[in-house]
Amino acid sequence: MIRLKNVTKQYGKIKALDGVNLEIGAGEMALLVGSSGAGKSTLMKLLYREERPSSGSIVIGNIDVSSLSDSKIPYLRRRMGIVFQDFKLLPHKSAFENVAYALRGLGAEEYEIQKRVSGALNLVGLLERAFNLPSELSGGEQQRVGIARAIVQGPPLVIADEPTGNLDPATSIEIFNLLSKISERGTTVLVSTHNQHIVENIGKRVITLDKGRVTSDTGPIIRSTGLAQGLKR
Amino acid sequence: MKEIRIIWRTLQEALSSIKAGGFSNVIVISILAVALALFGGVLQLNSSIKQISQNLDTQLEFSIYLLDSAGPQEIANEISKNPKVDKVEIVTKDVAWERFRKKFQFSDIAGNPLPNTIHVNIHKPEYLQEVIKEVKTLAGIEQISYAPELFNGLERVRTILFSFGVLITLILAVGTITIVSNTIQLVIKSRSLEIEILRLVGVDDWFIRGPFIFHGIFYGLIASLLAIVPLVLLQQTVWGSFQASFKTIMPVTFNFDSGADLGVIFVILSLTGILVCGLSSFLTTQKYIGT
Ligand SMILES: Nc1ncnc2c1ncn2[C@@H]1O[C@H](COP(=O)(O)OP(=O)(O)OP(=O)(O)O)[C@@H](O)[C@H]1O
Ligand SMILES: [Mg+2]
Repeated sequence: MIRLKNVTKQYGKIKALDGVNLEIGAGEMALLVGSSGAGKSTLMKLLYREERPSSGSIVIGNIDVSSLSDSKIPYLRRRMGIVFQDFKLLPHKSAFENVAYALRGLGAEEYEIQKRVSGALNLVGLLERAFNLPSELSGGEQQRVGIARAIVQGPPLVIADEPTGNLDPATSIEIFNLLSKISERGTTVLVSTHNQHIVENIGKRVITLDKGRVTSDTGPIIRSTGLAQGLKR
Repeated sequence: MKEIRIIWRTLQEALSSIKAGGFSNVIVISILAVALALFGGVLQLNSSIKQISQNLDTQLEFSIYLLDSAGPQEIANEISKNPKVDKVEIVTKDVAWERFRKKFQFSDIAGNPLPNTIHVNIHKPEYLQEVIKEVKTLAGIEQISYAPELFNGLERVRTILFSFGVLITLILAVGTITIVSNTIQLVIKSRSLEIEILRLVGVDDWFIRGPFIFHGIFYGLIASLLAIVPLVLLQQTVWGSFQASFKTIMPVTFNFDSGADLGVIFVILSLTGILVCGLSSFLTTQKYIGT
């Protein structure tokens, strides 16, 4: 699904990424960890083509992201869902409208919007809060809306940069369980996190970055989430 | 179908963008309306003068002012011998004075300054120069007044006014573009989160930029609707009274039309407004949200 070959990203003199080689298969869930400034966000920005690599190649599915022209960016982003630390919800739109917003811009039919948005909200367990504004939802609920928005177009890939960075530990576990559930439905999920408890207990592939290099990689692990057990222990 | 839905939703987004504009919309539209009204005024004046001078150009009539020493009847008889002349009418100085006083409601002032006048009608406009040449050879003629002389004068005035108007319009256009660009830029800034999200979820550029472009076009449309109002009023009041007084002052009679064609001017104004505003908002979106 994702293939990085010798990817380097340089900001002036700073090498945010330095010769990264990485392969993440379809339907796999991987955690990206590393200390602050290690290059996690940079890697993700390269994936959704917010930034271009200084050198190396990036391929997602059959799209060569590193050589993708600006005008093709929307095409790439419709095939991935992006989840943000700060949720990035529109404050004056309901949960439903936040999820539907992109579909409207893509010209989907009204009944299809209804169907897809309800489906996504149902999956994240927020159907009964569909018509609440973000300000009326808890942080965890807001992030669920963000995840519903990311998956509403049924993308093969979901990228989440510190999705639980603003949430308490219990809520964070719920969000990670939700992301595991999404990956178990066949979606590739790449999540960055600082949450050590989750990294140790979720039972997923962990990729460690340090100063722009991959310093360790557990490799693909096909195992259901161990988070619930982790909590009980 | 899909395209129609996207356009429809773009319009809806434009509407909410306009609503978010609030009071600044009123200011921008007012300034635009004034600029367009001035531009329309120039067009209106130009077209009015043009209409008068065209009317003059095809005149079949000219007037002869006589010296007091000359006998109007003899001269009139002499002129009417010419086969190119259709009709000759004498207006004596007393009659002219009487009409003049009635028209302008003068109380008696000393003496009658008006000359005896002969109005001459010819069969075809082409004969005019020829007939005038012959009349000039007669004795007792003080002055001959005929339309094409005035026509040339009016055309000169029109050219000057029009060039001046074009200059003012260009200056206004630059100002308009600046104002619209700045306003749209502010709206874009206030909706930067929306724009960022739309980009991140892969919405196409046109759906993101479209509402702001429609916002600009809306300004142009409303402003041109407002701008035509003073022009209609101007036409109704000024043109009417001008027409009336022109008929009495002029040595010749005219068949005036309705004045400038406000329908055409409105089309020009709205197209200009839409084009200028649409283009400046288009360029602004290109600068601030283009890929
Ligand atoms: N736009 C930029 N311009 C210059 N330097 C940048 C830019 N973005 C990131 N960097 C630098 O690149 C390096 C990697 O940053 P990055 O944001 O990827 O780290 P991170 O792993 O996401 O850290 P954190 O865990 O704090 O989010 C840092 O040294 C950062 O200062
Ligand atoms: Mg980061």
